[in-house]
Amino acid sequence: MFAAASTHCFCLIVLCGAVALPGAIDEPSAAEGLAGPLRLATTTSTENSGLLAVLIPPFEKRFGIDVDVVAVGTGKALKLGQNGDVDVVFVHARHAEEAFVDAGWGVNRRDVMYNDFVIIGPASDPAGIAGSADAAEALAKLTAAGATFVSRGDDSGTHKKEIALWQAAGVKPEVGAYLETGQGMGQTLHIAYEKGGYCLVDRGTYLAHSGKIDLKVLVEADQRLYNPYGIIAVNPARHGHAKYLSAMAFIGWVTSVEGQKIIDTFRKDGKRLFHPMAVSTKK
Amino acid sequence: MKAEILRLEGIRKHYGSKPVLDISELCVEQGAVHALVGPNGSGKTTLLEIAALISVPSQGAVYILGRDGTADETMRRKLRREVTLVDQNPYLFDTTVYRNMAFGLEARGLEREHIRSRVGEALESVGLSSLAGRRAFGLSAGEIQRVALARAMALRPALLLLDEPTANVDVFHVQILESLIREAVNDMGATVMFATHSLAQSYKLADSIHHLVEGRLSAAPPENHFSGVAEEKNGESILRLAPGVRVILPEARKGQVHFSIPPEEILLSRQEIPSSAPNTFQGRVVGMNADRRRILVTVDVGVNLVTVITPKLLDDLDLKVGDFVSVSFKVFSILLY
Amino acid sequence: MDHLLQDIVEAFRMVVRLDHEVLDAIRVTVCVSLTSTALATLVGVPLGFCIAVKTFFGKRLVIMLFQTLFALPTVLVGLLVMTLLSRRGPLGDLGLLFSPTAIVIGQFLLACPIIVNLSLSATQSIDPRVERTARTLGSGRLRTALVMFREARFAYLAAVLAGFGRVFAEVGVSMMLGGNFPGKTRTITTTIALESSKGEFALGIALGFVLLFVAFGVNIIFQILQGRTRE
Repeated sequence: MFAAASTHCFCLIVLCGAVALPGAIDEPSAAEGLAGPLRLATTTSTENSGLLAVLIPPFEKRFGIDVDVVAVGTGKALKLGQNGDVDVVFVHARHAEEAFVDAGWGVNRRDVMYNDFVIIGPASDPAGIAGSADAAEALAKLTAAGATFVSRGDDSGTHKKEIALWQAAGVKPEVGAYLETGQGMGQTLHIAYEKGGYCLVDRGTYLAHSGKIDLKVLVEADQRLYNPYGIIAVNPARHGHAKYLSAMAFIGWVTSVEGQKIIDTFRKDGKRLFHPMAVSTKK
Repeated sequence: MKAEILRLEGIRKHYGSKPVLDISELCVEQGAVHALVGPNGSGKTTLLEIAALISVPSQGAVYILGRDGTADETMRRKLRREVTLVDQNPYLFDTTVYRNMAFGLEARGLEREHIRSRVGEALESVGLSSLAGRRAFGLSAGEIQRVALARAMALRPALLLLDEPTANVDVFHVQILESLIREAVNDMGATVMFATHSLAQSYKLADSIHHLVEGRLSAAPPENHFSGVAEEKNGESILRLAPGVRVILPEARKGQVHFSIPPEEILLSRQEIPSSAPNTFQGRVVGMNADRRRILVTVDVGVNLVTVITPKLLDDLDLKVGDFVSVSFKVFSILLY
Repeated sequence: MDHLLQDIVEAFRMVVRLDHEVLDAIRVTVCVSLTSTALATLVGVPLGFCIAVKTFFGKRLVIMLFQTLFALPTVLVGLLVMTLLSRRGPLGDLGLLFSPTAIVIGQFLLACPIIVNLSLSATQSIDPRVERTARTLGSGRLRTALVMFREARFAYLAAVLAGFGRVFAEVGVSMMLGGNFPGKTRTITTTIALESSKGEFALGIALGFVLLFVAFGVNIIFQILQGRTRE
């Protein structure tokens, strides 16, 4: 009676344990003696853009190792690299990347690609900033008009860029008109849409969501809105277990002619998102 | 010379500071039916629990088949196999009747075949063989008592203790259970001690009667022991013992009731006590008995009531047999069984 | 409005096709939550039983502590376990972070207080006559404990189901400790979180229904087991 039920339960447990538990097993690759899986920390906007879904599989196939992507905020991605919980870091926060390398947590930093930020807002543009060539000035204008601005507020690359612009503008946004969401880019965009406010967003995420939210690009092309991506291997001297060779292979891949071509030709809904920086793709 | 199955010596039990039992000696002979009679609250259940070795006395020793069960844990556990107690409201496990019966036998490590035959026997002896596969949930009170009894009997204990076995069952089952008690002794050779509040039942079934009043064994049956049919009138429970003798009971009761009144609680007086006072009767002194420092006076008020007075009071009242007196006792002096 | 409707229909279509990503997510969810619930049951039910049955110094404090843990936030558990399992942390050398095992550990910590608490009350609700009856029938301590378990088996099962419900539908721990790797640590809930961060609300809703459906299935299995133990 009770015995029957407990046997059933026990079998279920054993079955699940067998499938669920193995976690830390590494599979050495047949091909180049590279260890996998390679752990990559990147930002949620990079992952959500869909680029990695086309950039990574050819690498996995060629080198025979899996790439596990952890998508978190910029700060956390770098922290994971610092703690040695990942093997390679791919973010877009220049200053933070440089500090990371200077502190000795990462080595072999390479530029990979850039995209740009845009300031978006309601089509009616109540603050009248459309077409400004100067992003900082646009923000100042926004504040003067009392318009709502929605910020990530989470120390991400986007947020840091936004802070830099406010500093350049020399103004502080009004407390009531400044909303900090503390969430990812997608959620922040939707909040901006609901509130009819303005927002700073990377073009990739904007394009991904533009079908669902009715906000228009109002300010773009300012040099300050330029958003470079860098990739860094976690320093094996600091973390002996880090899969350095595999990380270097991956860095080699994304900065190779082939990898850069994939980046160059990547389109989302027919629109270009990223510009390769590592190697000229012109023949 | 019959063997002694159970012997309680110097047993005292307190709950906190409240003394519940004080038994200097109680012997139970083998192969007989013993009755433990007493009103509610007299400590019958506590005594049975101590005898069954599931409750530890505050003081004293319990000897089962001559061995001390209160000495150490191992002995206690061992001797517990020789005694089985059936509760007043027995609990049947949430499974079939068969499994209930088999439980104790499995605990003793008997083999399947052996268990099957014992259970079959026991169920047959209580007339419930058809219920073996039934779930215990949903049986009537009488059936539960019979199954509980069978469950205990299947274990063939040397001593079978039953706490008010017929208290909560219908008339039909009372008869069945009473005959089962006798059978247990005659056919199984067990010794049975059952607790009851019915003196009549104990006279009917038992070879030996032990009276328990307020935690103490009493040598003789209680005085002023009556039974009758109680009715409810104007929010009171009334029992007519005899024409003109209406006793008001302390608790709401209906139907057959047994009670007794301790002689010390009955007040005797020459004066006419107003008859509106409850439980007050007039009558004639029909007997007087000296017993050490107490004088037992029997007064006929329609039934005989025995009361106790001091020699001094006897002098003061100048009491003689044949005198008219008033007796009264408080409603709450009545001990209900 | 028909935008929304269109999205929902498309989402359900994707889900009903049961493409391998959805199947993977279901597999990971079921394995991880069943494992963590099973472990929490093995630890929690006897613990709840013992706390209820034994008297010891500080018993009330212990009970209060477990009751407080009822409100343990998933993100807190995620953070704590992450600190422990990170390479930098004390258990870093095990390399367990971002694996199904890490999720199991976190979910175990979430389910335990629930199972302990409810097992505790299940034990307290056992008819006091059970223990007494078992002992009068001559059963030893272990057998008595087993029969007590059995008499309250439905209450204990409810405790286990409550623990399961808590971990099956949680996302905080799975996300933080698993890393959301497709096919390995991506659960139904982390998929929903991912899709909604991409703005794919309709797909998120459809997956939510998948979650409920799977939960229903697991519950049916439990009901059958329950039925078997009732002879």
